[in-house]
Amino acid sequence: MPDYNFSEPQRQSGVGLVLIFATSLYHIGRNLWVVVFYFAFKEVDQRTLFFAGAGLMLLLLLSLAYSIIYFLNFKFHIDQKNEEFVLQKGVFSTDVINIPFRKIQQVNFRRNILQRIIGVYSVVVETAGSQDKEVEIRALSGEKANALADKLMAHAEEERAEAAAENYLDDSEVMGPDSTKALPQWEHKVSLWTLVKLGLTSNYLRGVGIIVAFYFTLREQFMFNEDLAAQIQEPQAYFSQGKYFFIIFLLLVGMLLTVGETVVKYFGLHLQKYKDTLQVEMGLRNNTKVNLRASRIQLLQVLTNPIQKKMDLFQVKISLASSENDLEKNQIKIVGLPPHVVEQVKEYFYQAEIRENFKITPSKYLLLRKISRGLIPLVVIAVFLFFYAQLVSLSWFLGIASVYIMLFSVYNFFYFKKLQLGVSEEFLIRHSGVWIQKEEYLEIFRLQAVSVSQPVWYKKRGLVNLTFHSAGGDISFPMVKKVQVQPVLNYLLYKIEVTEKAWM
Amino acid sequence: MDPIAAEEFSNFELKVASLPKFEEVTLHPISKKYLVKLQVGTTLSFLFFAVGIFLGYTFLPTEFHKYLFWAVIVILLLFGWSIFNNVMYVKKSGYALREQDIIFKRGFLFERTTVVPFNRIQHVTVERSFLDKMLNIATLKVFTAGGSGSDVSIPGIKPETATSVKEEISGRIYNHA
Repeated sequence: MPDYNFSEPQRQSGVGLVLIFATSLYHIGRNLWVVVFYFAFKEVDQRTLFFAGAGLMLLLLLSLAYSIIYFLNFKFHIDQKNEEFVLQKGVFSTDVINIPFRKIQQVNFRRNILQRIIGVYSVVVETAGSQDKEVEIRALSGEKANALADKLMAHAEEERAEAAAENYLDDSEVMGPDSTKALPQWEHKVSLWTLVKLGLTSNYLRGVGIIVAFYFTLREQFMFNEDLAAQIQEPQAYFSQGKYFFIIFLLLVGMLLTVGETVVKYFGLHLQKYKDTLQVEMGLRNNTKVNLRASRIQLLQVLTNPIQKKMDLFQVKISLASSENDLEKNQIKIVGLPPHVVEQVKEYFYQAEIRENFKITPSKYLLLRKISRGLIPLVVIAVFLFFYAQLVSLSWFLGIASVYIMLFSVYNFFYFKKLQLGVSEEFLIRHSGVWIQKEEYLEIFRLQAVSVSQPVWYKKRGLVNLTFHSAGGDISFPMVKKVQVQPVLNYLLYKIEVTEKAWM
Repeated sequence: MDPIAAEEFSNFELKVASLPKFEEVTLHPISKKYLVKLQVGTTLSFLFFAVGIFLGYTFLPTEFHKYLFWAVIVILLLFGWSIFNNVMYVKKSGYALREQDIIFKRGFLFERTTVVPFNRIQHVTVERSFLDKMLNIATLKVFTAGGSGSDVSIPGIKPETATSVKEEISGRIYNHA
């Protein structure tokens, strides 16, 4: 690998210009397609056509000029003296973005289809600050991207190591530039077939939802056209006859869409464990490559459902520190993992095996509350029926109501049974979920704060709700006995306060 | 907790028993002047509604007056409740500093206690609005990396106290870092 020098301000790869221009063309196209539509379907005279053509040419020229200037003005370098990464950009004004090394959270790669065609990578620098959360350099060659990422991460680690002094157990701060080139300690590839299986066993309702949303937007688009609207109304009448057929059809399409979405999103999912980082690569349309470091992980979730469990398909969600409340965005989802890989991932992040010393369970009033709340709609309907008694016969209502109550009670019973908070010496583990079973792992020293809330009507029974705040999101746990959890809370606070390990 | 788990728990219960208990700390109350601020705010929004009803009474035809009457009752009830709630809120809220953390308890219907260890605090600010300056109080805000849920904002502290607490916390954050 040639040694790249990033200390001088420099531009992106030359082909980056193509990328910028293509992107701006794409944006123009997206905004102008209505106009194109107009020209395609309307009779236009020569003069209008000429002016439109001239306008388009001018627009293209302007956007080309814009792209060139943008490309020329986009420069970045590493400032060793001030210990920061500097990026300048802007066409009319000049923005200079300085990112101190210690603020760098992650350096990731991303590629969309065009970037793959012209053979460049996006390098995304994620920071801990609230503004300028991401800085993206959109066109770097693979080697250069790697070199830049390595340099930046090495600087970031160095800085952090200095700040956190001797807290590192291993020598993870010493990271040679060639360490990512080394062979991985273990790796795992998720095959296409696994993804298909995963899609088949996921929730189709999402897919159905997409179709329904699509249908409604289409309808809205064509509503202004009376004829078309009438045409759309007609098949509806047809469908109402073959209603069941229609529902099955909808489910089938929903299933296909779900499978398609899963495959596109996680295509080529590849985990590679190196000495001090776990590299995750995935995606068909937008290919991303993320380097996860154990020291950065705030919260880890393992999810599965009974069918997927049988097929050894587990999902791992990893939350990194985020300054804002958009926690979903800072989550990395890895799907379709067999249990031993999940174990390997956990082992890398947490080193030690997690053994729960004891479990906290919610009070039985939670079950009572859940069931009584579920009865509210029933009562409302009953009152409604009382006034309009002719609509449904009493026996029908009673039948449906009893089935509802039974299903509902069974569901809530399992919900209640599954909801547990495990406490080990170093971890909090929240177990939950009837269908989608979820385990959330939170290392105690990563806790930021602890909240205890108590509505007035819990007082008599001595119950409280707990919230554990971490930089990767909160974990909450409802309705526990105050006397039972207070020692645990005091223990947690003690653990946070004595720890000298940096939580990030 | 089932009995088997309880046995395992005893393993570190001993250690736990000797730990300081956050629930037993006596809290400093927040200033009564903050109550004044809350009541002023409530009264202002009440006045806003009162003006609306007055306008409705003057300009709407008489058949609507019946509804206005009910609106007045609802708003009066709400107002009474808010006034009462404010009093209870100030009465129930309080804060305390321990050697290692800050405790803040607030709320009447929904009581909520948050404990933030000093070594997890990102920064501390003292804020004063116009009304705060008139009443000579301040709001102490403690920010963590745990999102808005774990940030603590303590209203109704004397400005001097707020500043000294802020200095104190900043000093302790510095010691930890």
